[in-house]
Amino acid sequence: MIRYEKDQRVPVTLTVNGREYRQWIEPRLLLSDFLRDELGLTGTHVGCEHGVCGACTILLNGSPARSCLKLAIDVDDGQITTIEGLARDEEFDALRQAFSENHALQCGFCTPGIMLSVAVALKHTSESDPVDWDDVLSGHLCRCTGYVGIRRAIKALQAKEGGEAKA
Amino acid sequence: MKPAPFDFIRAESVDDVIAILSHTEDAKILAGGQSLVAMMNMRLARPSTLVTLRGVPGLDAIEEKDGVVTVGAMVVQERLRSMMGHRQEFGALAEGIGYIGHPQTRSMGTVGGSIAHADPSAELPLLLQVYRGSVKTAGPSGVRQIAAEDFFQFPFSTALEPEEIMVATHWPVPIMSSGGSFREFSRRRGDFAIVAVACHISIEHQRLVDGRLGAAGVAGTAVAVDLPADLRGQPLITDEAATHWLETLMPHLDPPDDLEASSVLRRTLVETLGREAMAEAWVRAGGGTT
Repeated sequence: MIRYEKDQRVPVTLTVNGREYRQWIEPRLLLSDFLRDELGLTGTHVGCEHGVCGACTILLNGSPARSCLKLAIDVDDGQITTIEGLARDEEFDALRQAFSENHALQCGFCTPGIMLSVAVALKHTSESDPVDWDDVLSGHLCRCTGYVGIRRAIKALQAKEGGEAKA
Repeated sequence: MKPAPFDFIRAESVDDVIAILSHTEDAKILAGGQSLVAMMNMRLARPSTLVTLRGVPGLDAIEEKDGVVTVGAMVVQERLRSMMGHRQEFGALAEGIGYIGHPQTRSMGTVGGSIAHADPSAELPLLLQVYRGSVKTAGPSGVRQIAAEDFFQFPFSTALEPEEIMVATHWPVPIMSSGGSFREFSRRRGDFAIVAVACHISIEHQRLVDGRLGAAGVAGTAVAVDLPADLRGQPLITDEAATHWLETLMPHLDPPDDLEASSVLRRTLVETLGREAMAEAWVRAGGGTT
């Protein structure tokens, strides 16, 4: 076993958006603060900081996760995708376009988290196992759109892909 | 909203964890962190030492042997849900897990973490009771197996000794012709349940042979009762039978009266959701309507 003292700086290695970072951090540093303050990736927003609002959602090893409920030290060696990762990736051009065209955001505070959740859900949807969009979107608080525009964007994306529009 | 400082230990074996818990005042085990880290962020929890199970091998397996499914403590909730989604005999399990938080928390939250946390309104402690499951613990004096009904003692407290760790939960496989149903009432999707109800029914030759009915959010722990003996052999869950079964559950309830809901509302919800769950479990078990 390995023990670290509370004020000790501990090396962690994380791959964020395909790039490897090695930083020395305190054990209590949250992943959300690691991304924002250590790496300067401020696209990950911090809202409630207790796992309710969903603004800080990122992908950890391919699964959506609250970065405010993970300690950076405890996801050492993990693969992380943040909204900055989607911004650079052509694969998500359609997603960004659909959000823009369908008024799926207004103030934009919740948007990074929602886009990551939607991106990963779209990837896993199939006709035999359709996504429960109520369930996916329940994990994000949006106070501007009433979710109408977000659902419209998802519908548009699914129509484009020829998938079943269930949003 | 940041956690207070703590020492951090990466355990590499269950024995490591037991040694740390035995020798450290106020150490907490970190599994998925979906409740613990939230509590630490709010400083409702300030453990001196955090022990992560992430590097402990063997805690994330799901195995089925001799009619029992053993679920390692570190199995994430979403994984158990997708594995059990097609198992009719565990009908209430996948459905109930679907009510835990959101996909974004179920992907990290663990089965063991939720059960050890023992929130009286949580889904998994209720499900473990309804399926007559048990908990496997490891401690300085060896391994123990504790039945679910003895494990949960008070809100957020269990039969786990301070130096013990939960390593797995056991879920006995019901007979094939079983069905289950899970119902939950909350103000918003993914919120803590105001009331949750689970029902499990087994039938043979179109007759009731076994069942469990339980509720969460209405007492210090989740509670569950067996199918009353005089309902065995019945060809249908009639209104009277449902009332009778519910009457055996009601004495175990001690519903809180708070801003979320009055105790009267909670009792009414147990009744309403209970009837719905019984009817649905019966149909899912293959029971007819005549």
